[in-house]
Amino acid sequence: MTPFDDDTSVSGNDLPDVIAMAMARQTLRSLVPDAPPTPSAELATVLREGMPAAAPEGSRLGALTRRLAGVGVATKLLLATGVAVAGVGGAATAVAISHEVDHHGDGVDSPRNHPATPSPTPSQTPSDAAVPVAVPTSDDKGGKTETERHDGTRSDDSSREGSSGSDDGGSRNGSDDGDRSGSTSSGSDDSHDGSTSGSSTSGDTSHDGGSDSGSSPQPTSGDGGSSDGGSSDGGSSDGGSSGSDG
Amino acid sequence: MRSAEADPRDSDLVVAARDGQPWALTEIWQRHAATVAGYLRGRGARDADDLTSDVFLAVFERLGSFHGDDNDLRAFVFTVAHHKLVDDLRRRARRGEALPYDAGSDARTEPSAETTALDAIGDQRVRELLDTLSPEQRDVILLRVVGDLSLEQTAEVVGKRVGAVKALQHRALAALRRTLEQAVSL
Repeated sequence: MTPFDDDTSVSGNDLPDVIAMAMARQTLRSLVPDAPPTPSAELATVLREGMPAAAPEGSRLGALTRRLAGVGVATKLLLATGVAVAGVGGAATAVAISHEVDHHGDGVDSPRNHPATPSPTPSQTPSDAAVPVAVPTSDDKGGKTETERHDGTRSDDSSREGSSGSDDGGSRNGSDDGDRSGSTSSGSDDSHDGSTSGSSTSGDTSHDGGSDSGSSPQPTSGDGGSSDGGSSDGGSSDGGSSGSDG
Repeated sequence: MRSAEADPRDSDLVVAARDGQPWALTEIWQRHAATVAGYLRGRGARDADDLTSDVFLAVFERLGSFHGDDNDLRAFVFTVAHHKLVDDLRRRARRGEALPYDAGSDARTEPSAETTALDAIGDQRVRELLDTLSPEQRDVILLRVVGDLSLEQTAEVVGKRVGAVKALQHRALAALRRTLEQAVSL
C-alpha cells in the first residue's frame, strides 16, 4: 500500500494536496520569466500610443463590416449571388430601354413613341416636296375625285367624301394611327427621316395601314379605312375604289 | 503569490485601459505578461512570447466589454490566453508542422552558455513533470499555480464546474507528488 493509492479520490485529506501544491509552485515557477517578454511591434505601438479610437457603434460601415465578417461562407455566397442577379437584371433593363429607343429611331411607329404628338391642324402644311401631298382633282368619269400625288401615284377618293380622306390618304398608316397620321405634319416629320416618306415606302406602309384599318374598331374606320385604302397603292383590303383600280 | 497589491491606481486602471490610455495598457502588460507567458510556455505553445503579445492585443481590444476590478481582469486575461492557446494548438494540429528550434537563426540576444544549460535542465524537468498530466490537469495546475487564479476563476477560464476543476486539481497534484517523490528517491 503506497500513499498514492487513494489518488482517485477527491474527498481525502487536503494536506497532501497543500504540500503537493507548494512543491508544484516551486517547480513551475521557473516557467514564469522574471520580466515581461518583448512585445511584438504591433503591441509595442499600442503600448506606446494607446489603443486607436474604435469605430462608433452607430457607424453604418463598421456595423456592416462586422456583420459581413460574422456571417458564414454560404451566406456570403448567397449575398454575392443576389447582387449578381440584380446586376444582370439592371443590365437587361438598360439594354431593353436602349433597344426601344433604337427602334423609335428606325421609324417603327408606335403611339407610345409619340406621347405628345400635336393634334392635326389643317394649317400645318408640309414644306418638304418629298411628302406626298394630296391634291383633289375632278375626274370626268362620274365626277370621281382623285388625289394626285407628287410622287406620281394617284388614289381614288370616290368612296369617301370631302377632302379629309385625301388628307388621310396622304398618310402612310392605317386607322390605328389615323388620327395622327392624318396630320400632314407627321408626314413632314417622317420625310426628314427619309425612311417612310415618298413613294418608295408608301406602298409598304399603306399596305399595313390597309389591313389595320379593316380590322380597326375605331369610329372612323369606315371613312378612314376607305380613304387609307384609296390613298395607298396597296390598300386593297378596303377597297374596291382604290387608286389602283382607277 | 497573489500580486494584487493595493495600488492606488487599481480603481482607475481598468477605466483608463478601457479608454485606451497608454499608461494603463502598459501597466496591465507589466502586471500580467510574465505569468501569461509562463502559462503558455507550460502548456506547450510554440512561440510563447509572440502568442503573449497576441493575447494582450486581443485583451486590449475587448476591454470595452469587460466589467470588474483588477482581480477580475486577471481572470479575463487568462480567459483570452486560454482561448488563444486552444486556437494555436488546433492550428498546429491541423498543419501538423513541428519545426525544431534553430538557435542559429534566432535573432534575439543569446544568453550565456551556462544560463542556457541551466534553463534547459529546468525546462526539461518541468516539461517532464507536466507531461505526466493530462491536458485538462495541466490547464488547471498552471492556471492555479502560475496564473494564481482561484478555483472559481479557473473554472470560468476552462469552462467547467468548480467541482470538476477541484477533482482535476486533486488528481494532478497526486500525480505530481508521485513523480517528484520518485525523482527524489532516485
